[in-house]
Amino acid sequence: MTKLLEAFEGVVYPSVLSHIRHLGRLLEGKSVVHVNSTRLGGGVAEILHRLVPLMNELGIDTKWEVITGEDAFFAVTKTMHNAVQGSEKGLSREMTEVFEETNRENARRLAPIVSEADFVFVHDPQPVPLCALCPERKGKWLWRCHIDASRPNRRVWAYLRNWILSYDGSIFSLPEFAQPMPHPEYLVPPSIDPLSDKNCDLEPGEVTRTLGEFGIDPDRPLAVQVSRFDRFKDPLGVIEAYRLCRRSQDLQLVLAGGEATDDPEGSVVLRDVLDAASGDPDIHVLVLPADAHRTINALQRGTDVVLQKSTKEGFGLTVSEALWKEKPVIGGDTGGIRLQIIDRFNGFRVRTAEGAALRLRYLLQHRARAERMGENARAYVRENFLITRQLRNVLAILVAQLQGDRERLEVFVP
Amino acid sequence: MPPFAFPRLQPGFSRPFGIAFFARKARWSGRERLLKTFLTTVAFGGGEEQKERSRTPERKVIRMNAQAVMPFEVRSCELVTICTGIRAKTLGELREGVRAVPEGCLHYHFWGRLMRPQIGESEFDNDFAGWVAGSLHDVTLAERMSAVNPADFADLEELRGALLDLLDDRLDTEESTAWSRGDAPFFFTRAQLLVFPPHRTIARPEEFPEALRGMDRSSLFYHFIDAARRTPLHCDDVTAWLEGFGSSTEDLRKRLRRVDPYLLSLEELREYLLLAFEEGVGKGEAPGSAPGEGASGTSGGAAGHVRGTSPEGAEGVVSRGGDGA
Repeated sequence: MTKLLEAFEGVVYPSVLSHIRHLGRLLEGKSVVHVNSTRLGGGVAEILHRLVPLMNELGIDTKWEVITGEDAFFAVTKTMHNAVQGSEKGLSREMTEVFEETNRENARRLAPIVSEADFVFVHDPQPVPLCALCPERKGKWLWRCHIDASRPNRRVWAYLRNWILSYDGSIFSLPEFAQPMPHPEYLVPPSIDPLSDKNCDLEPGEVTRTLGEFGIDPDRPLAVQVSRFDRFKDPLGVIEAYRLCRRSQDLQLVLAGGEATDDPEGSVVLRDVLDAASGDPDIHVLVLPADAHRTINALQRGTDVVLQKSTKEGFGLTVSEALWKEKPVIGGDTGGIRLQIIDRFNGFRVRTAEGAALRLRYLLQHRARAERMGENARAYVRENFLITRQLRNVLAILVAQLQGDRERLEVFVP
Repeated sequence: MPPFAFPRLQPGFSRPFGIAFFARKARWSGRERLLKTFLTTVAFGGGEEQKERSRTPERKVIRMNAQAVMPFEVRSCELVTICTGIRAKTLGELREGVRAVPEGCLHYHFWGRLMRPQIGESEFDNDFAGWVAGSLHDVTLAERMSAVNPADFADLEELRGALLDLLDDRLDTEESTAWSRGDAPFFFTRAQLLVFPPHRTIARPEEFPEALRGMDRSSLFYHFIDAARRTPLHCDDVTAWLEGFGSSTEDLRKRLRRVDPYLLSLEELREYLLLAFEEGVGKGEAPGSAPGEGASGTSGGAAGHVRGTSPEGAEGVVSRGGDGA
């Protein structure tokens, strides 16, 4: 048993680790490269921070590379990201030129690493041309889509699809998110790392101290949404729900957002949020550095209810983070939130600010039920959304890629 | 040539004549008798040897069988789920999908749900029925589709035929249902099954409950769900193994055969199996009740939530059905 895996012994069932070891031995000595667009901020970076060391500990030579680009490039990729999630705004010729030129530069830089790798995972649309731009590649390339591509802007998707076709397979979080492709499209829901600073257990004193640092009264009811300042996360809808709830309940609200280096639109949304919150001392808008994981952990643990009122969502891992901390979650009825929140079991799915306000009032009123939901929430995450499950899935896909598309593969461990 | 992955049947199930003959004959009447005959003549020995055994006093047969039985090898597996790219928005499209998809896709939508996130009581026991009810709001058809027990069919093609019959009947009688769109599409999904080498062996039935308590959920799936598809007689691996111990396990085997995994989550299946072993090990032929029936103070027979050990760790609330991925 490796050292990092050992740390999961008290958290997951031993046979889970045994599976992972089996799979690891099959892939021992293989080389894997993950490529994405940021090392800080967002669910992808958080998963890779744990997944990459775990894969290395299993004897799989795993690297994590990040593409670089100017602001203009990230403005294009943000437009692209929104378009994949359905925004009507398309890409101009100039934008695709910036996109392709930046990817060509990155392909030249990364070619010595990725061309020789046995497996390359390219995450999300930003680096998607890399596969086609590395014609000397030797291994299997997989495109990992973390966002909801169920109803993409068709013109933008057609453009991206041409790049995706060069891959050996794609991975989507849910079948709803996938678009038809000629190669295998695997399904792997993402996960959280229970041992990370963001999810590990904290002393009650640290939680209280953190709340105090931001002027939050630990003795009054609190609702928290932790998300990037992004329109699809609907922070303005959350403020509206809070105001509706405040008509009958005492409540404080925290909107905590990190800053991701690949999200230039965030500052515009943040300005709107600050405008909407101005004049209300019980609304705390917190712009946290990308590495403020323990702060986020404390906020999620110190709250009564967690909100994730997204209108579009890739998967919404903040939901699983909160569920892991035994908090009932009120989430938007969209994307991966549907998989994580089971109505009345561990939270509520809502479509409107009014719905969110109603559920807020319910959870603040029925404390015992909220507590039971919280217990259910942790059990549900333990079974389904921890990183060990995702690691198993990813390794299994690599084995399957080596073996071809047969329905039954009997694995021999050397 | 890669250094691993070669498909193979369970030991003893490789005699083509026996497989073809008994698989054809075993489906309905006399299934249990045929299973026993198959296992003794084809799987665990030749015809002449069996004739000799049948002339031997019963006690001697039990002892000989017990000596000859190989240890049970516990395996686990992993499902790699894959989109087929086929989706349905109407009942007509669902019918078309059911007709066109590979067999494995049907298996996944009936059985693969057991390996997915599960919580809450599901009224319907396969994905098709769940979608027809939840998205098309056709509860009548959903009820009929849910009542289709895949274990009742010789193979998945027969199951496909039964589903198509149900869908065609509905489309013929309720024309409007052919065109009404569901709230959300149905996504046809298939899975690759990775089977791992044995990681534990069990020599005697008495040792089984302890192993069962610590068994990964995927091992339950492999030995009870996948076995029904993998083996020629559609029999779970444990019952087949217990057969080798002769009449001393007859009551236990009866109890195991009464467990209907289609109506259970894997955690519930574990509970039922444990109960069957507790009540059945060491008992000979007896008019047994189904596991859980009439038992007090156990979870057997309980519908709904079962306290169990989750595959990922500590005790949690696990229940049948579910809104899986």
